[in-house]
Amino acid sequence: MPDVRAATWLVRDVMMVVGDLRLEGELEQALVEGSGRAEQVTARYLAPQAVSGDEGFVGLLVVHLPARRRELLEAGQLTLRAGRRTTSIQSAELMNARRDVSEVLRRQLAPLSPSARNQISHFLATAAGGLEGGLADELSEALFMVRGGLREHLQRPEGGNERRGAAVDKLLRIDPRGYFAFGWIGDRDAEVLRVTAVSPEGERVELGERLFRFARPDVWKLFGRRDRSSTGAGFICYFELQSPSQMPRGWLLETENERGDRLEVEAPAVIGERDDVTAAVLEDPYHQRSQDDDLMAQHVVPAVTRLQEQVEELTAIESVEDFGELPSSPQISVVVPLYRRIDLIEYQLAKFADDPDFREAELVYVLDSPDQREDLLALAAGLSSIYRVPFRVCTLEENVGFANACNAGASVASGRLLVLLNSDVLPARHGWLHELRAFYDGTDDIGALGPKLLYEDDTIQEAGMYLHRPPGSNVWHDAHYFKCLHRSFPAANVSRPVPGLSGACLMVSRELYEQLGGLRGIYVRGDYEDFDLCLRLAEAGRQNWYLPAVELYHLEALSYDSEVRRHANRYNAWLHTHLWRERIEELARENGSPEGATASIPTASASEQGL
Amino acid sequence: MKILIVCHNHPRIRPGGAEGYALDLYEQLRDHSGHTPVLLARVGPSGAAAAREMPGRPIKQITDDPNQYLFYTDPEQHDFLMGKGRNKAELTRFYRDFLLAHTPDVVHFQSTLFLGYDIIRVTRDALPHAAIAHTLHEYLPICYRDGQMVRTRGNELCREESPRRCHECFPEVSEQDFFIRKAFIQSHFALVDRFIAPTPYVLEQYVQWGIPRERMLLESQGIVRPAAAAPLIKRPEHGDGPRNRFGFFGQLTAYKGVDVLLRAIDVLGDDFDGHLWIHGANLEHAKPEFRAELRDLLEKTREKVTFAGRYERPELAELLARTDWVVIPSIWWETGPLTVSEAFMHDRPVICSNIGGMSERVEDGVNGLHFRRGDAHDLAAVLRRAAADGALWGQLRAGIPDLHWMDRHAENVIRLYEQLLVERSAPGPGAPSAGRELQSA
Repeated sequence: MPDVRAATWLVRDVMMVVGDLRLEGELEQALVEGSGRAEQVTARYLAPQAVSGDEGFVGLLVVHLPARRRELLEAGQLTLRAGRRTTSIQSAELMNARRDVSEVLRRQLAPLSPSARNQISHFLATAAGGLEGGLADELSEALFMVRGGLREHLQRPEGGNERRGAAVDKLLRIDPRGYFAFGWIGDRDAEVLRVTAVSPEGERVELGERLFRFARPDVWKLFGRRDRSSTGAGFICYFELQSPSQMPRGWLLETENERGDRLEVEAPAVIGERDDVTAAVLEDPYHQRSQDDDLMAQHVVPAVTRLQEQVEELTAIESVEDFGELPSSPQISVVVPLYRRIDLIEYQLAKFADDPDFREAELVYVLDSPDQREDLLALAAGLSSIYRVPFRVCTLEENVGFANACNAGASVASGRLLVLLNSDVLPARHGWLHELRAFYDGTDDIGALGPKLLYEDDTIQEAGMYLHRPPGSNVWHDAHYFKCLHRSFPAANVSRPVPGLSGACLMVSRELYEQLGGLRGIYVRGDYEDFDLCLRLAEAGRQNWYLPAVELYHLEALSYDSEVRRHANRYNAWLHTHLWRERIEELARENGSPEGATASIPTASASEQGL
Repeated sequence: MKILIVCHNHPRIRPGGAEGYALDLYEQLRDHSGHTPVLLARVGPSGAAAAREMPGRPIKQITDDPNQYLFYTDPEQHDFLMGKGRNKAELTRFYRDFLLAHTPDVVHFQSTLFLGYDIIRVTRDALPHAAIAHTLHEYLPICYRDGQMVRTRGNELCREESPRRCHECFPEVSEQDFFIRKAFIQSHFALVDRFIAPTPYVLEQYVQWGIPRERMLLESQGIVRPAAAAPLIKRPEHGDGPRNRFGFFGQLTAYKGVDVLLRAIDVLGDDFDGHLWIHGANLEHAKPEFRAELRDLLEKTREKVTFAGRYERPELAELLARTDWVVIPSIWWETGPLTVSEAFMHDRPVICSNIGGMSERVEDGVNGLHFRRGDAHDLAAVLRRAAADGALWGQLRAGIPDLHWMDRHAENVIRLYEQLLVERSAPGPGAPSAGRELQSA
């Protein structure tokens, strides 16, 4: 017979039962049975033997009981199966044992050892998240209260004269299970061995081994010496919880040194707004100075990747409006993402208006700043009646960035060929679309095709892209052939295969683009996904071509905040290198240059040809 | 033939060279050509304090002339950098309906200021067969500095635009935006069949900027022949003392150089035997610093200068009769100022800056005198010489050429319209078609 000591409702539909439930092994199934019916419920069990450090612990069960099952239970029993044993608890037994939460904590759990109480609190937090229905705010708050009742309160550092200290400077929520912490740990006496993050709900995550450590001279000053750890006092850490955490406040960091001295500090309120989080991860003051591979691979990339995946999941089209008479079977679809500078469409339409190609092409503007939808639609209506170029306005539900916006635009496109075009690009001449198309269709195994891109002073912004690695760096950066030379520079006027092309203007077969899944959203803020696409095209056996006969002006930096971009750019370069290192180094070897820089530029022969 | 003349202001509301010309041309065509002109002059708060928008009714009558209209646009809704209105309905609804109701054969733009360069596109779209002409009165499409081609720092003359140079003049506007500005304006100018440049200098500037030479016509503005009933009032040519009465006629803006002229008078000092009359309008539109500077200069030179203020065109003959020399001290290029024609019409030699449109119209030592642009000392020397040399006035007066009268000019313009209509009705390989791109030089 199970020995139920106490039962309580943590929240309306989650019951916690303390008692020796006579279960052997893992809990496999929980049923509520009554009125001749049986229904399965989710439940988690913490067996006495799973808790170390206190013999007095008898066992703990949490069970999710939504309203209907609660009614069923009232007339019957709860049946638990573990291995070959089955235990039933009668409803009456549960009713008799019912107490309020604080009483259960005080009488049943508080007398246990601190270690056992921590384990119980951790169990409740992780178990509750696994229950059907997830972790509602209400349950979070209940668990926070439970944690408060069970937790061992450790010493907190005060003032500047302590032997040791710690702080969480910033705590970022990547998602409800993933967190990113910045802080420091200093100890005059001994090495800190254990560092534990405790969620408000009570889940405990051991960070000691995971922490990325770095020097914090400001912390040395505070403690009057270099901290014992050779790795530095500062830390950065991405970590994941088993169960989601919802509460913005209540995070703790506990430390323990090799002498057993323990300390706890409270973390500041969690930062959860995605843009702030991404910016904080990317702009962290440590990795601005140098990119550490461990920091990047273990902490920054997993965190940013999860953030970018969230963004990708948000990609959805809210509406598509057509302006003017769209061509019935366009060969080419031109996809232009718009972010903030919606005014730029007027200048593009002014340039497209008299180009006959645009009567036959499908022009798709993708609005990636959805709050501007009404303004854009009003503007589009006015411009449509002036310029008469048919176009579509595709509004996204959320701001999801260049790559996802391009993919969304491509998903509504019907042309056989896709042109990705930035909103700050203006063609030098009419007819550029059919010139691109003619070259594309006339070239075997072509992947992507890019034109010559110019600055406003007629110098070259890019004539195809390559990758180079600055001496002393292990990261490959994208670079543009013939950048800043005059558009007439002979060597830049030769059509040729190139390793990469800019997404500012790029033609690719839509089928191919879709086969490869389009641009990848893992890069931050529109950068490197173009090179990534080109490398994937090359991997698929295609060749990427540069076509100098077609010229467009790329009025770069009109639509971006360049400070934020700089951080994103460093991140993207590292990630791109990380994903493609073998292929990139193979390319560099083929070109016979360790830095990969200028090796593949056709110089003398091309300029002699004077093309 | 029905001809719509579009202008950025009406001279009755705000005097100005281009506005005056638009009305003159309109009246000439109306009264003497057998064709039907319609004048559409933009109006708005900056042109006249009284003009206010009547919602849903932006077009209204100016006089009892059924073919003169005012078209209200709101400067608050105008993007001056790019030259476009934000409220597209002004063009796509009201202007378009106006065009379709009138269906002119020719639309002749004077300036699209406050209307937007896209008015050209709306015109072309509504009237695919109409001929579109555009007179180039200033350099506004080329130069954001009020179309003057005078640099913001030190008022240096500018001979060449580029995104870099324009950004130097306006650091708050990026090079990219200046690039876009030009691309945007040119995309609309591509729809104009012929541009009319009043002087060779203007023509060359626009060719250099990117308008193909074959789309340019050199044709200076005509001046209205005085009515026979109002003969010229001339000072007796002999026996009436020295020719030392100088006159300034024009807008009181910094570009017109009235400050240079006052400084020259100041340099000449009290013993200068001569006097200057300033006949000028629009001082209220000048910047406060400039107004203050003028006030100081007028105070210093009050013995030698009379500030006569605004004048109406019918008064001009009499005012000129009391003047010996007309001074045009503009520090900008001018595009062939009407004042030269008016001075010559009344047999007055002109003293002018040695640049651009005015120096082309006025020949130094033949029918006028040049001085170094912006140089008050040089102008002072020229004024002293003009006042002192008794024979010079008569000699230069004799050198005044025949004028390009409005009737002749109108004939030329009508011939152009007809030619354009032929070109449009039979588009061959050489004929300008809609939207043929402009190529930058």
